[in-house]
Amino acid sequence: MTVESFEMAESLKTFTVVQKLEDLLLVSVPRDLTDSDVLRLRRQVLRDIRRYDSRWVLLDFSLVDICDSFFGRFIHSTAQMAQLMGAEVIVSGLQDAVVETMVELGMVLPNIHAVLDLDDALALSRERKEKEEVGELPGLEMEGGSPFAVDETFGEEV
Amino acid sequence: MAEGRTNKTYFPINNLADVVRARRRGLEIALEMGFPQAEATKVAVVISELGRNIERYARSGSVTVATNLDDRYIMIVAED
Repeated sequence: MTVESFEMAESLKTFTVVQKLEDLLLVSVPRDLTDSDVLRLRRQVLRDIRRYDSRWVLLDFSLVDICDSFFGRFIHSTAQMAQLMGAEVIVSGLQDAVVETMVELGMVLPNIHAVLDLDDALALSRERKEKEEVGELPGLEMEGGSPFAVDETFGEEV
Repeated sequence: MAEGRTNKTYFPINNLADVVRARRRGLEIALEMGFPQAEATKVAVVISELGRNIERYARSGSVTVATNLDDRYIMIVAED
């Protein structure tokens, strides 16, 4: 099978792992994704941010036990793209072996909230929403440095 | 090196799904040998990076995972 026909066949599948939950777009990232699966998932996440007007994107990695350079760039680029669309990004469920690889690959995730699980993610988005409603926070705004502060060794395009 | 206890697992690499299969099985092999999860993950990552390069630049090739239970090592051979 050629690469082209392989990707054509693959693109017919739609991921059922992206769903709306309150203000969150919940993305349960499956394990064993091929590189082309990864790119399709990223497109679907961006499309669904627009579709549901999601202000928060939760990328849950509890099922993922292998993170190589391509997958690391996927996490980074998806987060960056979601931020450009006006959503805040939360990552959850990163396993110890996975974060070890990510950090050793030189990966940094600026302006991203990391939480333990879905409960903490929901608590974070609800807390932020309440604060915004009573006027303590001026809406979504990046804290810290530029969202483009990327480790140079990690700049290769996905 | 005790030849008798060397096991070799051969993974043909012709597409991206083959890469996923090889790294998944590589992780399992490392765990079965008693490597800690973090080390087994690195074995999988090495197979994944090599396999992707084969698929991308050579189109086809193979990854062989050789294990030795006496000396407790894993050897990963990538060929195209």
